[in-house]
This record gives sequence, C-alpha cells and structure tokens, in this order.
Amino acid sequence: MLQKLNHVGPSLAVKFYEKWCLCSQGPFIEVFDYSNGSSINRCHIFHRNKVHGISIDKTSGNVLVYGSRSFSIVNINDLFSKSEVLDQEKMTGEWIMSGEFSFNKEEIYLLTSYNRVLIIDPDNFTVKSTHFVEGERSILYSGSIKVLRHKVLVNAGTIMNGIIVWELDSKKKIHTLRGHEGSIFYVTTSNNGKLLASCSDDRSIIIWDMVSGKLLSRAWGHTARIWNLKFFNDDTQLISVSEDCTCRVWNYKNDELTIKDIFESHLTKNVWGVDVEETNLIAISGGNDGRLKVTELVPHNRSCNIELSLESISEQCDGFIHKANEIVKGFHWFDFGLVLITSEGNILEYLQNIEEWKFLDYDDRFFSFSITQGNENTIFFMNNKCLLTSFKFDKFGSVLQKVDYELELLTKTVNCLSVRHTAHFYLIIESPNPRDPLLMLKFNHGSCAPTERYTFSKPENMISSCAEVHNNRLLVGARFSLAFIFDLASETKPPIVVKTQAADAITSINYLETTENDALFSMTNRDGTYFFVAVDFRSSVYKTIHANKISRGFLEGSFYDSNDDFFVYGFKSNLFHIYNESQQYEVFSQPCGGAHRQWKLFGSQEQQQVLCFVKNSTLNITKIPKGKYPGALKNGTHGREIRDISFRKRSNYCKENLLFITGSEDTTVKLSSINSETGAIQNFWTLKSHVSGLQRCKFICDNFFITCSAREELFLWELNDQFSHPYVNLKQKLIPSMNNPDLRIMDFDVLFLNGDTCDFIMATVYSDSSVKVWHYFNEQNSFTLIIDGRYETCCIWNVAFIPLQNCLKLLIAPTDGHLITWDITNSVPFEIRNNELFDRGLKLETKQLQNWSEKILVHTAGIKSLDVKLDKSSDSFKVYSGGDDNAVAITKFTNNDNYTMKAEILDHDSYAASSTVTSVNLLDNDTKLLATSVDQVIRIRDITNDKLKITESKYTTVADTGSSDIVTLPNVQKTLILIGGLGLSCWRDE
Amino acid sequence: MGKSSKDKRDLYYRKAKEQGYRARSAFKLLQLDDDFHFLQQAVRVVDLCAAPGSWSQVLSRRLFPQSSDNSDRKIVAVDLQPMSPIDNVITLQADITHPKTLQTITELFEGKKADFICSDGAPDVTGLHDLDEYVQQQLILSALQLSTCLLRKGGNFVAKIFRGRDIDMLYSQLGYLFEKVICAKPRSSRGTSLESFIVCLGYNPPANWEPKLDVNSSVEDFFQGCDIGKLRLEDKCPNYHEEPRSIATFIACGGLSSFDSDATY
Ligand SMILES: C[S@@+](CC[C@H](N)C(=O)[O-])C[C@H]1O[C@@H](n2cnc3c(N)ncnc32)[C@H](O)[C@@H]1O
Repeated sequence: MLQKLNHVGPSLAVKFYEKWCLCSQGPFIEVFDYSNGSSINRCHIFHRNKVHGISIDKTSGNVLVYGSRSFSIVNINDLFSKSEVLDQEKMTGEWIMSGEFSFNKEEIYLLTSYNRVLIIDPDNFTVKSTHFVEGERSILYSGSIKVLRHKVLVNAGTIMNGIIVWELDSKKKIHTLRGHEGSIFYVTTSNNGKLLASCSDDRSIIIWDMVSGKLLSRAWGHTARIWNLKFFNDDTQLISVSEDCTCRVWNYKNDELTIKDIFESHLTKNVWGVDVEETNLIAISGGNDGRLKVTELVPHNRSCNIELSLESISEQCDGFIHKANEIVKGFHWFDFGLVLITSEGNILEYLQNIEEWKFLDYDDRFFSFSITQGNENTIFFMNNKCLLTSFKFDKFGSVLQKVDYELELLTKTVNCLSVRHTAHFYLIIESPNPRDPLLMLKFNHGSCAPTERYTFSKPENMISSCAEVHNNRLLVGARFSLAFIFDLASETKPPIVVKTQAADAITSINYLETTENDALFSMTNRDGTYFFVAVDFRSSVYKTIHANKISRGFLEGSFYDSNDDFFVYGFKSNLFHIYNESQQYEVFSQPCGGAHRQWKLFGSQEQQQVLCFVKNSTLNITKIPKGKYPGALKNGTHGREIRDISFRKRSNYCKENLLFITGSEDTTVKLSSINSETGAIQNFWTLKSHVSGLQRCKFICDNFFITCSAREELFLWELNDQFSHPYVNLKQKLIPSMNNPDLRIMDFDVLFLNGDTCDFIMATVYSDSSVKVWHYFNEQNSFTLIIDGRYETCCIWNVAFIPLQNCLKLLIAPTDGHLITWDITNSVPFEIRNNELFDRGLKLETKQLQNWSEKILVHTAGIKSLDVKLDKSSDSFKVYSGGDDNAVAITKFTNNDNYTMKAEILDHDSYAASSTVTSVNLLDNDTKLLATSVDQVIRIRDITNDKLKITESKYTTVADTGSSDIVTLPNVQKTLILIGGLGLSCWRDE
Repeated sequence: MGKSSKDKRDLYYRKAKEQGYRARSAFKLLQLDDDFHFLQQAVRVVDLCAAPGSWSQVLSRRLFPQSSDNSDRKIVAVDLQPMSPIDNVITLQADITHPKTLQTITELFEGKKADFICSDGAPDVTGLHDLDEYVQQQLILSALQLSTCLLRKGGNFVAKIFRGRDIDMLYSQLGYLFEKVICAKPRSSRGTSLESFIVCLGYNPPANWEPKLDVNSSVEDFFQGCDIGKLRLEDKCPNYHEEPRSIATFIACGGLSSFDSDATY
C-alpha cells in the first residue's frame, strides 16, 4: 500500500490570521506560528484540486477555501486540528476566480471564470441566485470581489477587453478600464473602495480611480509578469509579487505610484501569493519553489545606520579639524564604539553609549598610508615604514596604554592581516621586498605586546589577502586563488601550496572541524566561488571536497549559523549582502556603492554584526538587524520542474535520513536529505555548474554521481560524507565534441569494472542520435572514448548496458518508439565473464559502433523511460518501458546464439495512462512496476506473470510529473518513493 | 545560472521558411492530415486561434487550387492577435471565448454548414498548471461550441491539447459528440512538450439536443442542455465526486521516418 509521507510544491495562497499564517500547499492548508516558524497543523482540503484562495470571516471563524472548481467552508479550528476535511468539498461548474463572504456573512459569493457570481447559502450550499452582466461572458484570467457596506463590486480581468467593473446587485457595468495590453492577471480594490490596482501581461501596475474610472498612475519595475497585488497601510502602499521572483513594495502618494523596496524572495520562477501583517509590517509570500518566505518590510533597527562625513565629525569632536583632502583610512568596531584613523594620521574615537566623538591622537607617521587591525579592546595601526602602534582601551573606551613596536626584520611593510584564535591573536605582516620574510606576531588576548614571533621565507607568488591559524599552522590566502600553509613548529619548512579552481584572490579561510586525519577549512574567492578544503597535516596532502559558485557578485566571507545553514557574504552590484546559501535566499542587503571601497564586517552572527564602510567619503556604520522572524516558514525545493531524482542507494546518511539529488529545468542540481520516517526534506547544496536545464542525474555508486544536460554537459561529482555536512565536488567533465548549444546528452549508463567502484565504462546518448561509450580511469581521473557511432537521425532518450553472461549488450530507446540493441562484446577492450567486466590491460582505442543487431517497435511514440531486469541464469533480459504514447510495455530479449537475440513483446498496455508515461521503476524485488505519468497518477502494476496488472493507483498533486526514484529501506522492508515534477512528493510502499 | 531555453531552430523551422509558411506549426496540420485526410473533402472551414496564420496558409493552398471553381469555398480565421492577410482567408480579430465572436463567425457562413473546424489555440501560459490546463480546455470547448452550431453532421474537428491532469475528462466529453476521438501527435510536435491534437471524426450530436447560441451564456451554460457528462449547476452545489473520464487512442502522425523535432541538427 502506498502511504503519502510528504509533499513540497507550489504555494498559491497565503493569509495571516492573528498570530498564525495559513498557507496553501497543493490541496493542503498548513498553519504556522509565524513568530517562531513552527508548523501547527496540515489539513487536507480538496481531493485533487489545489487551494488557490483563502478568505476568512473573523467573527464566525469560518474560512472559505477555493481552488479550481472546488470550494469548501471550513471552521478555522478544524484547520488547526484536523488532518482532513475532504467531505466538505463542494463543486461548481466553472473555475472559481475569487470568493468572499457577504457583508452580513449570511451568504458567500463566488466569482467564476465566465464573469458570473454565484450567491450561495453557506448552510445548505443552495445557489440562491447567479448574477452577471449582459453580453460580458467571455473568459477571465483574474477577478476579485469587493464587499463594501452598501454595495458589492466585481472586478473582472479579461483577455481582450481590459477590466470590467460591475455592481453585483444591479448587474450593471460601472467601468470598462482600458489601458493595459494583453490579459489582466490581477485586479484588486483598495480597502476604502476608492482605488483599484491592476496588472497584466505588459508587466505594469495601474492605479485607477473607482469613481471616475480614470487612470491615476502607472508604474513599471518588475522584469516579468506580475501575479498578485495587495493594498496595505491605509491604502498608501501596495505590495506586488511576480514571475521575476521578487516581492516589491510601492508607495502611493499624490496620485503617484513609486517603488520603495525590492525583495528577492523566491527561486526561479514565479511568486503567486502574498499577504501583509500590518501591525508588525511583515509579508508572507508563496512561490513555485514551495518556499513560504517571511519578509520584514521594515527591519526593526534600520535606524541604526549612522552616516557621517569627516566634516560633520569635526563639528562634533573637540580638537579635530579636518583638512580638505583628508579621508578615513581605517577603522575598527569595539563593544564601546569605533576607533578610526585618517589619511593625516588623526586618530578618533566614537563612543556609542553617549553618542560622542573624541579626538585621541595625531601621529604624522601614519600620514597617507596606514593599515588598521583590532582585537578585544586593542587597536593596531601599521604604516609602510615598519612601524606598528597599538592603543589599548578599557571597556568604556578610555586609552590605557599606547605602545610602539618596530618591525626591524622587515625593510618595508605593505600588508597586515589578523587572525583571532581562541586564546591568541595574530598579526601577519607582509613586506613588498621578496627577500624579507613573512612575519607573524602572536599576542595574548588583551595584550598589546607580542609574546612570540615567527618568520617564514615568503613564497615568490604570494600576495596575501586573508589568514587563518589552526593546529599550529598558519594558512594564508592569496591572490591568484592560492593558499599557503606554514608550519609554526618548523619555520624553515616550505609551505604547502593549495591551488583552488578560481580566478581571483582568496578572501577568507575558516577552520571548521577535524575528523580522524583531516582538518576542514572553508574558503571564499572574490570571483564568487567558495570551497571546502580538507587538509591532512601529517602527510601534507590537501583535497578540495566541495566547490560551488554563487549566482552573481563577489564573495568576501562565509559562516555556518547555529541551524547549520551555510551563509556567504560579499558584494552584488552596489549592495553588500549576506546570503543563506543552504536555503538560497538573501538575509541582509545594504546599498554601499560596490566592492572596491573601505569596508569591514565586525562581530559575530550570534551576537551582533556591524558593517562599517566608506561611501562618497562618508563613514557608514550599520548594525545588521537580526531578523525578528524566521526567514522562511518552509524552504521548499526547485522553482521549476524536477527532471530527475536519484537516491544514494546503499547507505544511510545520518540515522534514518537518506541523501538524494534532484536535477531541474532551473539548471541546478540539489543535494538534499530525506527522513524516511517523516518525509522531511533538508537541502544542503544547490550546485550551479550546469548552464542549461538538466536532463538526468544519477548516483552511480555511494560516492559518485553524474549529471547531464544540453551543450553536451556531463559532469562527474564526488560526494564526501566524512564531515558533519555532506560535501560534493565536480570531479571531471566530459569534453564537448562540438560547439552546438542545443546538443543534449539525454541519458547515460555506467558499468563498473573489476567488481569494484572506481573504474567504469559509461554509455552516453545524444539528441543528434549519437551513441558513445567511454572508459573512466579513476587514478588519472580521465574519460577515454572507446566507441563512437550513431543510430539514425532521431533523438535518443534512454540507454542501458546489459552484461549478459559472457557478452555485453547496449540497449537504447529513441523517439521512434523502438528498442534497439547492439552486441558490443568485441568492441570493448575488456573481458566479460558471468555478467561482469574485467580489465585485462588491453589497449584503449576508439572503435566505430557497428550496425545494431536487434530492433523492435514497442511504442508508437518516443520511449520516455525504461528499467531493465536481467535474468542472470538464463541468457535473457526484460525491458519495462513507458512512452509518450501513454503506453507501458514489457519486452523480452533472449539470446539465440552469442551474437543475435530474439525480441518479443510480452505485454503492452496502450491505455496505461491518459498522458505521457514519464518514469518507470521496478519495485519489490522486481515483482512490481511503478509508473508515473503527466496525468498525475502513480500506478503500480503486478508483473510477476509478465502481464501488466494494475494493483494500485494514487493521485499525486505534483504537476508535470516527470521523474521518480525508489530506495528499499533495508531494516524495515519498505520502499521509499520520490516523485518529482513541479515539486516533490514522497511516498512509502509498505 | 545560464540559459535553459533550448534552441528552437530545428529542421521544421527551416523547412517552413523554405516553403513560405509563417510558422513551423504548418507541418503539424499537414502531418495530421496525412493520417486522417480531413482536408480532402473540406470546402468550408474555420481556423480558430489562427495567428500568425500558417494553418490558414495550408488551408488556403489546399482549398483554393488555382484552376477549379472556388465559389462555394470559404475559410474564416480568428485570433486575438491581428493577422496579416492571406489569400482567400477572411480574418477576424476576436476572443473565441466570447459568445458574440461565435455569432459573428456563424453569420459569415450565411446559413451554410462547415466541413472542418480546427483550433491550434494556446492561452498565455502562466505556470499555474491547473489554470493553464483549464483555460486551454475552455478554448477547446469554445471551438466545440462553434462546431455544434456550424459543423455539418459527419464533419471533423481538430484542436490542440496539452495532455495534463484532466485531459481524460475532455476525451469523455468529446466522445458524446463524435463517432471517433483520437489523440494524435505529429512528429513535428516535440516529444518533450505535452502538446498533442485531439482529432474528432464524424460529428454526431445527441438526437434530442438543439444547440442554441446565446450571447449571455458562457460555454459551460451552453453545454448544460447537452448530455456530454458535464457538471450541471443545479440549485445546489454538489459534493465532490469523480466525473467521467476516458482515455483516447494515441496515434503518432507523420510516420516514424519523418524528421523528429526533438533531434538536434
Ligand atoms: C500556437 S498559436 C497558433 C498558430 C497557428 N495555428 C499558425 O499555424 O500560425 C496560438 C494562438 O492562439 C491564440 N489565442 C489564444 N487564446 C485565444 C482566444 N481566447 N481567442 C482567440 N485566439 C486565442 C493566440 O493569440 C495565438 O496566436
């Protein structure tokens, strides 16, 4: 029996209610406490239809839920407690565009797709009357009902005739509002009934006067279509959500609509629903990605942004008179406030408690060049003439001590980096003179005189940019994507040189954890790449175990938070931003004018982060607001169709969790884990190496998986699970054979050599009918082409190797509906014995693919998916296939002699589904076949007698159902099933 | 993130250019006709959702051979979008879900019946799969509504469909009005898209039903009187129940040897 475990998919309707949020997810409504993000209950509302709209009558506690042709009136308490209210689902003949309670709450109004309002008695569901405007019965794309005290207005968004506004009682047309181009996608009345806001295919928002019908203002901004609008704040503001994944806030003042804020809230693509909680000014939005995003429209401490020029500081600061060209050269933030140094050598202090500036010192040795570092209550200034000066403060900011320190080992000084380490603080000082050593000073916390000094001979190409200290090693990040690891115990030993695959300087290195031999570090590169590098100090060997890239911008640093989410920060066009890379959303952004300026991020994420930067010779101090609310109530998955799913089959990852990958039309691959008990899904990484939508992704063994797509992209990835998070690294790419962006690798299959899991052969099939076989040699990490050829002219959708006793068969399934096999035993330089492949050291060379040996017509259109069952003892195999012709078939291939086979169709169901069958999987020791199809039905067939006999079918709410994978849970004898499409649904067969 | 859109310039695109068709869609109609021959006998036809007009071009070339007597022949093409003129085609810019549009088309036929009605309509796709499928089906129902008023008994109807969640409900409804309902996919339509065509052969309406166009009734109202298994809106909203569904035979058109539009060239 199939049991539904979990569902992640588009959320279309979201609504605040007191301290909760009601959010639709497919046919469900889930209730959350938005203050802490906890889920209170999930209630199944409709049998099949998705929930598109929610309307609440606060007095009676009744909730009107509608979607497609279904509606239901549910008591709010039931939404908080019941798992389903399916028996309350009612139907209408037409799609419901909008639903509202009447003013006296004794009736409900449903506006349907043909511009008609049904007036329904909520007690017995009788239709009391139906209202429409004569001659206006064409189909609508949107519509809304506005219930005012004395009248009810209906706004109908048509395809061709603009917006028709009519009055319910009199059935009289009030306005036909023309001004948009194309279909109207949303239209809503302001709370006071005076204004109307609309949006259409043309991406603009128009504000109309309800009385005169005049166009008052029109605004542009969204880069794609807009799906929803809502007035708030006494109709002075409007919020909009769009296909461009953003949520935007607009001000409406003096008949003018102007943009106020842009929030990037969802993944490609589409944000459907939005609501605003007006007391705390937070918005909730739901998107295709299934994410429920909470956006704080007014960060509660935005006022903590201080902007000061030296000129205005000199007005507030006795003893400091600024010069015309004087600029801020360096600064450090302490608990008591800020200390800064100017280009003239003026040292100033800002005390945050009393909001006062104090002049500390003037030191002309720091004229024009100085570098600032700080730790605890000590600040260090270094000039380029080997002078280091420190000031030590008490906790209120009074100077306790000033110390000068000559760096006599160096002839000149250009750079000074700092590292904080549990009990110590280090300064790493670099000279431009190649003969000078790299100098490191060690300080005890709170002390301004060094306790120890280390010198290393400086590697030639090292221009340092960041540093880290761990396990008696100094790690220095440098330009050209290099890092150097020095041994503190042996200063003369040459450093380990770490090369990472990126273009720019390494901007941060952080120690994370240690397992047995390896210490793990995270690194960021300015070019937007980040790495995780495992170093074995004993053998001086390092390995990049993870590399990934942010979508755009420059990276400056990273950290894990207490929920184990990974964050990166840096610059994106003119913004400084902090991004939750695990969940893929921005948590903070501050316009600062871009990357090439003075800036520093202080403090820790747990306590308080402070961003200081200089922009237009103005000093800015921004305390980064810690969100008062959770950033998201649910994180969701890809925002576009999931094209393939693959479980890591053999071992569990962390208790009852299993790892799996999904490849999507959105061009990314996600690595996630699923809890086999609850179906709860956690995303670890969103891999962004592909540039086109994914075709396939598959784990080929426990540590490797392969992904492929257009542009002949095929990537081999390695998974590392020895640390507390799983990491993945792109190990090798297949080199494209031509420069055709449309040439897609449609599928691949892999067969390991010598019974182990490192070397393998791989078959790839292409959209231009090419068929290739490769040898992968792990030790050299290289692919070699060993068979090259072509089938005909059609696109090939599937491929499989079949090792049949002592021969090797290759099976393909193209768009022409045939199954075709080749015998490639003599074309591969390997020995095949008892269904296994052995490397006997024969020479690798590229052979031409011979003529196919068998061909049988199984489907009348393309074969979308297949699974193979090999009968190891009897020289035969069976192919289970699903096609674009809605059919499922079983085909058997039997060996005639060593080279030819007999192919026969054992069973064929032409009416297997009412739409394309997209995925088939053998189940339960190959006794059952699971098939998914675009009609959103999952069917299980018994195949024990080589007949397709339906035993179970279940409806899935995932639309565009296109992929599936299964895994058998070893201990419990149950099967976990994941179905992907626009969203993910998770089942258990037990 | 890179481009995920695939290069659409396949062989059919080039072939269309060569042969002077405005869109590669022309081959879909041609390949459908190769299998079903609905254009052989057709004299009066309607092409709904016709812009930019490649189907109308096919119809015009077929129905108006240079030499013969063309006086009885007629092609009416309708779309939301304006269309540049095509020889022997009367074009109309209108919304086919609007009852008035259907009335206008009927009037153009001056009391005569049509032999063939086709619709290649596709709505603005929003990305809400269920709404998109619903609007698509409404376009088909509007075309069907016109067919019931204008198609001669035995006439044929072809419309674009997307085989999604509720396509079997539509098959079932069409089964009440035609001898034969087939789901056909021409090779020129991409296997990776859900597009296919519903081919309805031999119009044969229920005996006791007199279709009546009324500018104040929606398509749904219109079919209330006709027993095609659609939900009737009585004076009470019914509980949820499964509606009749059936699966139509699937046929691939254009021959397996013709060019595959999923292939890369
Ligand atoms: C795929 S195109 C048709 C291509 C056409 N068969 C050809 O060969 O050139 C779909 C057309 O449906 C039209 N359409 C969509 N909804 C419509 C409606 N309600 N009324 C009329 N036309 C509509 C669109 O404007 C679009 O031009």
